[in-house]
Amino acid sequence: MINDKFYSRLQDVVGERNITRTPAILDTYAFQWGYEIESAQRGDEPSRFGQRPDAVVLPTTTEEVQTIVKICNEFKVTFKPFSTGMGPWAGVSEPGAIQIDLRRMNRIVEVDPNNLYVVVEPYVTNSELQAELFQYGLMHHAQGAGPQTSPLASHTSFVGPGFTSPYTGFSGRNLLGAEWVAPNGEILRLGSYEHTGKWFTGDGPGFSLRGVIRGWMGAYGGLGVFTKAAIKLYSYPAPKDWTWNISGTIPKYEWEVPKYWKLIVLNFQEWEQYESAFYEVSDHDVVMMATTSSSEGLAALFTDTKMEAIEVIFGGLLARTRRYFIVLIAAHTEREYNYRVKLIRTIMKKYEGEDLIEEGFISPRSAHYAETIRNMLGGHAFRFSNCFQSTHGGMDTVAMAVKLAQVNQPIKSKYIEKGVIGDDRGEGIWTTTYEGGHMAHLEVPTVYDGASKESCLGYAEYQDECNDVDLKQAYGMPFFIVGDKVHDYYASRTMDYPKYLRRIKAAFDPNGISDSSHYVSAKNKSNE
Amino acid sequence: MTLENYEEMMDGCVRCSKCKFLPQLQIKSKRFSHICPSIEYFNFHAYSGGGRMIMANALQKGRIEFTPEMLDVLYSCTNCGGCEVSCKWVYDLEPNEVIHELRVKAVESGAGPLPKHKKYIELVERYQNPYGEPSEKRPAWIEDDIKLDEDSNTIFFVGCTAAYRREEIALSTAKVLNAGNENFRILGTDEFCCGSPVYRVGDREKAIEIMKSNVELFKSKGVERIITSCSGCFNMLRTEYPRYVETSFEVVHISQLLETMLSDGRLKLTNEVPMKVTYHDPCHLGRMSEPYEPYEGEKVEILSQVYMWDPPKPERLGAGGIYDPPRNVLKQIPGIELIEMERICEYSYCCGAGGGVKAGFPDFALWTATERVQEAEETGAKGIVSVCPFCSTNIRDSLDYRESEMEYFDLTELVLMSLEGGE
Amino acid sequence: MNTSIHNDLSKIVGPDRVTDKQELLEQFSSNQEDDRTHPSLIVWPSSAEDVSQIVELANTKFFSLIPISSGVPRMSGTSTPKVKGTVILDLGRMNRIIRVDSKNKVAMVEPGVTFSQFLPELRKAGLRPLMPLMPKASQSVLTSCLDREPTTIPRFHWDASDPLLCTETIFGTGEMLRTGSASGPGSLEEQWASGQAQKNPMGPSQFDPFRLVQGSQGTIGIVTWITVKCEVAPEVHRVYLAGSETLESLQKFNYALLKRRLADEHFVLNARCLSAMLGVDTSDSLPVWTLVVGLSGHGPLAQEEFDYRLGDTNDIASETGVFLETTIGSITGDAVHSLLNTPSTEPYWKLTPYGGCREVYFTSTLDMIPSLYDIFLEEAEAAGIGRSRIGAYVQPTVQGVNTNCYFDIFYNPKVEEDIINMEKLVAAGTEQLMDAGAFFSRPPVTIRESVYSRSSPEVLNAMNRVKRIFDPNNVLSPGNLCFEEVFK
Ligand SMILES: Cc1cc2nc3c(=O)[nH]c(=O)nc-3n(C[C@H](O)[C@H](O)[C@@H](O)COP(=O)(O)OP(=O)(O)OC[C@H]3O[C@@H](n4cnc5c(N)ncnc54)[C@H](O)[C@@H]3O)c2cc1C
Ligand code: SF4
Ligand code: SF4
Repeated sequence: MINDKFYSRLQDVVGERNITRTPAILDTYAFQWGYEIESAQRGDEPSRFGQRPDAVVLPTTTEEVQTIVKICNEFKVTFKPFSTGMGPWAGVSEPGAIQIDLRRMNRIVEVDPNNLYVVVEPYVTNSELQAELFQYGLMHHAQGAGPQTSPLASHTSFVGPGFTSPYTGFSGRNLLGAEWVAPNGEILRLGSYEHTGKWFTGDGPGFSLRGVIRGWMGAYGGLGVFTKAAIKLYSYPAPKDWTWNISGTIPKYEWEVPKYWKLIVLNFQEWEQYESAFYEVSDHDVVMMATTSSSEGLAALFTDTKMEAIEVIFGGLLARTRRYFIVLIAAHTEREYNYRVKLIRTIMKKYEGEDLIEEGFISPRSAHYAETIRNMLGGHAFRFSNCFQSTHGGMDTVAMAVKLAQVNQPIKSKYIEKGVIGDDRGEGIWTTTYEGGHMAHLEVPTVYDGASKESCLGYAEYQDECNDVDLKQAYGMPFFIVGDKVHDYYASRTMDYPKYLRRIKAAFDPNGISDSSHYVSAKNKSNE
Repeated sequence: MTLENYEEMMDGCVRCSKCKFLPQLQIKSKRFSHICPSIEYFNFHAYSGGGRMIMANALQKGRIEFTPEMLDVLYSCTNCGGCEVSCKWVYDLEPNEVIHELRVKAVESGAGPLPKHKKYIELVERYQNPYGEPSEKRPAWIEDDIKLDEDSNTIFFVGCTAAYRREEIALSTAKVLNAGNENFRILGTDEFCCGSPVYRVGDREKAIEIMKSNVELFKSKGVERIITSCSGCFNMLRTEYPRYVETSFEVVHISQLLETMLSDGRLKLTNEVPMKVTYHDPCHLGRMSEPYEPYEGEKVEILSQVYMWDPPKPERLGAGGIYDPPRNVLKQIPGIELIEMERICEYSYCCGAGGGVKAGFPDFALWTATERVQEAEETGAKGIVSVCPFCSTNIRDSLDYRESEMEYFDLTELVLMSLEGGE
Repeated sequence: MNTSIHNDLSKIVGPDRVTDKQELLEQFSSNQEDDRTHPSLIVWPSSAEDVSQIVELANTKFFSLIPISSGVPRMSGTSTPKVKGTVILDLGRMNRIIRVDSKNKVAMVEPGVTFSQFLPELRKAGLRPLMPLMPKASQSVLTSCLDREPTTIPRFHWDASDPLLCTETIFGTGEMLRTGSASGPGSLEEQWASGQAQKNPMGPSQFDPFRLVQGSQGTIGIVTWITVKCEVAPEVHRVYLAGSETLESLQKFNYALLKRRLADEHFVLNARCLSAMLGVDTSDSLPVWTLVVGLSGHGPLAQEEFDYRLGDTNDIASETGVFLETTIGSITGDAVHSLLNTPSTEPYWKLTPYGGCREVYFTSTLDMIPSLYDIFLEEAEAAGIGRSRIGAYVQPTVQGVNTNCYFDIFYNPKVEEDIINMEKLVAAGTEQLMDAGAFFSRPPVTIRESVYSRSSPEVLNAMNRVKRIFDPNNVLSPGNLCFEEVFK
């Protein structure tokens, strides 16, 4: 337990209003989607309640964060920061730890519309940032987790695929610079800012400290606190006079779709054709979105209720869908639009595909265009269930994604047959390309029943099997290879990388107090 | 329902924070992206719709108990229902229902409500109104020229706030009714609080008693139709009463009636009222007034791990509130230009007064109203119009506090100004 | 000791792959009087295994190593020894193009692969490179990537690290790690079998070692191969030019075009630079600034793609008051085109006008360049180098987020005074530029101290901690970046 002295020191920093140790409030920080699996694995009844922090603090400046971190060092108290705090990796993992909730740090510090970057604090959300950027004709890369999540969290700390990845890339690669309160309480500002007062690059002088802070997956809050992030921006393809115009009443909102936008669902008979077409589309950097799910997924994306989705699925979509990917063409001009549409159609024809929208099997409404750009489509998965998680996640090429989809199908089907996970015939996947098609990843969203121990454990077993397949058959590193145990499990087939990670942890977190549960601890805990 | 009935639902919260914001497609600026005043003011997750639901869940699972600090969190919520609209768009969850149920449990277990709430509940019991005013003064707002029709089976249910605190609204309502030749009477000293202040803080038992006795009263007086200019009363009478007691009367909000009277030609708006105005949707007239459709059914597994209600459960998403009538009336007043705020209709921002907050946490109530007033000011309008005496009080408090140049109007007041020979 | 190290190295690589021949050693030395700058040996490893053993030896026998990959001329001083007894690790003989994967648009190359060797292979595979403007023919593709040298096509430049993808790195500890998705799981062969192509540079997992090696000027690890991102070769490709008296008048156009990802090559040169590049002495008749814009099309609708890009680019041009032409005076877009995506002929183009050239290069944003240029010209004049001897190359990078800028000082290395003036200008100009907001993200040795004096103690401390993790004994290129000139 934290002691009174520690608590009052923190209270001096943030003020009485912004610190708490009221159990009822603390418990709201102990509850996370995904915890039910861990609890089932411990042998308990599945529960979304996990470890309760001993206190929660709400700092509002970098200096406050720094002081908090220093006090934690002094008292050797573990801390875990989060931005909006969604997911099992956001909470504290061990007794006696405090949570740093960054929601009072919510400023858009700077927009540089010419040099295409924005500087944000942790609690600016994707939708807020997007809304503010439209006025400049710009957009940022928003992670698929949703419009209400934090672009800073994603860019500095957590993976980063999104629905617009073919056009806006991957969070980790869009980070230009960051203000970082390291675990020892030092404030570091990466890149050009220190030298010029501007955030246009995070690299140098010399090598880039971006190499320390996040990697592909992000440090998941295990390496200090990020208080500002400079993020790369992209042109928003709409006419200058276009505004975000949404009308109607819930749930049937209508949106003014920018003039040169079009969704196409390219459906092919076989993986081979799919793969060739996906590559060819990718070679041209012509789409805002390029993604695959299952037919159930497709129905969920472009309907408004569970009932509607089910009607669409059984109204012919299920029978018709083979190997498809959805593209969103979002062009700036008529010329660009015409060329892109023609190119997509040409490629579709070449590989004997059809457009499921044109064929009338699925009909996205204007609001679905809005949800695409606002990064809301992931949330549609929750229409089927409040419990889903993803397995796999390896990110390299389209070819690997296609192979992995096929390798996964029988494995997933096995668990479907056992009745422990949602039945999508093993076809449910999510894949997207990045950066004009240069990379791709595949993950396998999987529905389970969070109230059923059997289902939670079944899902966990399925995930373990997927991890094992990825490991043994070299399908890239899955998303959730974090924490000592899992890192070590992967170490031998991945050149023993955890040893370097541990050295970084030791060098930057000498007291080991930045919660390492979803990162790594300096000492190899899993071997102890 | 009991909290226990909600446990499965509570377990399904994904702690995504969507309930802190407008439905995400509706966000047009960072400044006005929020829907929950409570989380904005207090900041700990527990102060959001989802947070309170976790708290309820923790209580249900025996992890926590009612403590004064916990009750403070529970009651610093205006019960505005915003969280629920944002959540339900995506999920099958009803955070606001859970919050209410938790309040009920707090009262049932003897912990709630807060002392200030207890006090006004006592006043309601003693004086028929939460202000502790004598019944005789209830009809004091009436002026001589108001025509009442004692034979009418329609009553104007004035409500405690209009009767004792916002008399101008009671008066202008009566006047426009007269102008439109709408026959009505009032219950005068017999009128009894609708029960809203008691119900909202979780004293469901007493609230149901009040509902019952009011229903009896209406019956005994031959009331078939109730007109109200208070959104809180409207919400109780139209939406909450039928959940607990049998009702046999029609409930009409003044804004609906005005719309009808205008389309019937019973009212003619001729005077120019040259003014830019913006309209504030009271939560209780808007999203919260959507009726509950009685439902019985069960969850069935339609695909593996995917469940649906059989028969399909009616979704109370917030679309069924009263949004258009007040706007349609405003648009027909010559000279009035209606400019909308960013947060309107089912995703409107609360004035900050409801759910026992005005009594329990006046600073928070004022802060919330000020957020709303700032939003209204940004439209460039001169007038902020609404249709609820309770919103009126809180918004006026903020206008005074801010020394704002904006002025508050009840819709009936503007209509009155525009009437031929009106004021 | 030298002999014993010589023997040890011979054991690792074979006797004919180590030398102490003075004439070979001398080319690395910048100052004949300072014996610290004399390397003691040169060693040519032929495999990663060799490199690893050499690094381990350096750690036990306490000598420092400077890895080099490219041939002469050396422009930055990075590969000049700063510590007595340094061994030059010349990776030039590891020069295999391991793999060219046209489907996945990626190639895997060893350090010794030069642009002149690389480009024909790419062409055969239907690919084109993402490469700097007219590098030396002997320039190593790998070191160009490791140095974060700007490439000419901003729309393909997503991250400052592009086009570098995965690496195989031997750290200063002698440990080997493959970075990015190449780390595994599985061997490269297994990864290829599962459809991978080492395209994801990030990771493994929760750190990005490639970002620590890149830009480290040989201080963190020795890279034995990289994968490098390529693009599909266009079927239609033309270059357009626009002349301008000021950079400012191109600003709007540049920003608008960059945002749209319409153009391929996109940069601006001053007359001095352009004429040197073209090998003509017509700088007087050239506009002060020349904007170069390449446009292309490929695939089934190549011509249509080209037409749309040209159409939209011209629309932007006319909206922003810029006129794109195929010819400016005697200079044609085609002539410029012929110099793109290809290395310089010999001698290196920057050396042709005066025999010597010193580059002052930094990162900034487009809007900052005009004032930085003015500052530099003034300093040039003050240093006794005429304004007309300053070349400028303005290269938008990271899809327009920032700009890499080269101010080239053309001087005559045979004229003592010229050298002195040049050095004066480098010293004073760098300071002035930094004061005015230029960011020397890749600081050459000559200015490292003044650059790092502007870094906070916290950042320096962090860099040193990284150094200690990967090269605890400071055996790799001591004295580069902010690191000490001694080994531990
Ligand atoms: C339905 C769903 C879909 C998802 N889809 C995607 C997806 O498509 N792409 C994707 O990338 N992710 C996805 N995720 C995961 C999600 O991105 C992460 O949970 C997270 O990025 C969400 O953002 P957040 O703002 O809630 O971050 P948080 O939950 O606040 O933080 C995420 C992690 O980063 C750490 N962190 C956050 N802020 C800071 C900070 N300022 N300093 C240091 N550490 C910090 C936290 O400790 C935590 O470990 C999905 C999650 C869900 C529930
Ligand atoms: S009812 Fe209103 S105040 Fe209460 S939690 Fe929901 S949104 Fe917040
Ligand atoms: S109540 Fe609903 S919107 Fe709020 S956190 Fe829970 S699931 Fe999300």
